[in-house]
Amino acid sequence: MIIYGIKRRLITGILLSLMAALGFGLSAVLVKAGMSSVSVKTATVISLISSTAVTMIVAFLLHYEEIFSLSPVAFIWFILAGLITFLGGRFLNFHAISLVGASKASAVVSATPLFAAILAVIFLDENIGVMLGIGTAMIVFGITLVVIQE
Amino acid sequence: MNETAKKITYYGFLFAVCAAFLYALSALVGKKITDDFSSPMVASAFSILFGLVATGSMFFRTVSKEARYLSGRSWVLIGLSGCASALGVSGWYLALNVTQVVVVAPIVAVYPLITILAASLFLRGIEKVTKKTVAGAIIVVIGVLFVGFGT
Repeated sequence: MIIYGIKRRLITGILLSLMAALGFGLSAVLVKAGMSSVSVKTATVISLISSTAVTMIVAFLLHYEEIFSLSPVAFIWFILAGLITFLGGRFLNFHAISLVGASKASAVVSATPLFAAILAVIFLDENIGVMLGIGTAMIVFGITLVVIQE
Repeated sequence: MNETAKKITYYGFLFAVCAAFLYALSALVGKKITDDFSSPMVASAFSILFGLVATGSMFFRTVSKEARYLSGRSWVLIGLSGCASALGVSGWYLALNVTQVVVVAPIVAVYPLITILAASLFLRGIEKVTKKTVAGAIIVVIGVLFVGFGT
């Protein structure tokens, strides 16, 4: 019975992870296809409208009580995260997609964990291990391969 | 490649690198939020909401001008893109709720390969997917897995 429960959670986790990968993967292609007659600014705002609707529904369905007990300070951090991730990150990501295409831009943007690791080493005093070194070298080489096409 | 095309490509990759850096920075801010204030799903929902308010206010003039003449097809595709990335975020956090990060991270890390596959299927007339892009993306994905397990 316990093993069955663990197996079910694992399968659910794998399916949800696949949903996440599909969502992230298709997002760039869909925006590239829809951006032919519109500026990056408008595309960013429209995509954020639908993103807000979906995440708000999920958040209210799963964390209704938590939302009404949030501290005011939390909202300051939410604003900061919103500015960095969406006014900064998504806007520049869409710009990159419109200029070099969805496949190349995605390959470069997917190097985010490398930057996160570098920031963690600088600000959180995490150590640089062998795996991190190999991963960094591979990411740099992979991106170079994508960038230097001609 | 002429000078203008080179410049466009250069700026495109520069923007992509800057976006990756900002997403990484937001992960640090996200860690602070989820450690001290709320669950990741709530943090995402409100961050996106405030992101919408900020971009909507900043780009209001452009958006109000263009939105009127935007084709239904563009509305649907860009709207679906927003839904897809929201499903990505939701799926990521929900997956972490039911299973370990060692299962979730490698699966989610393959998303650039899904982009390449989808681009080669649906963007045939718009962009060319080269062998070098595919090879580069595969190497980046493997590198990301190394970084993930290394930290």
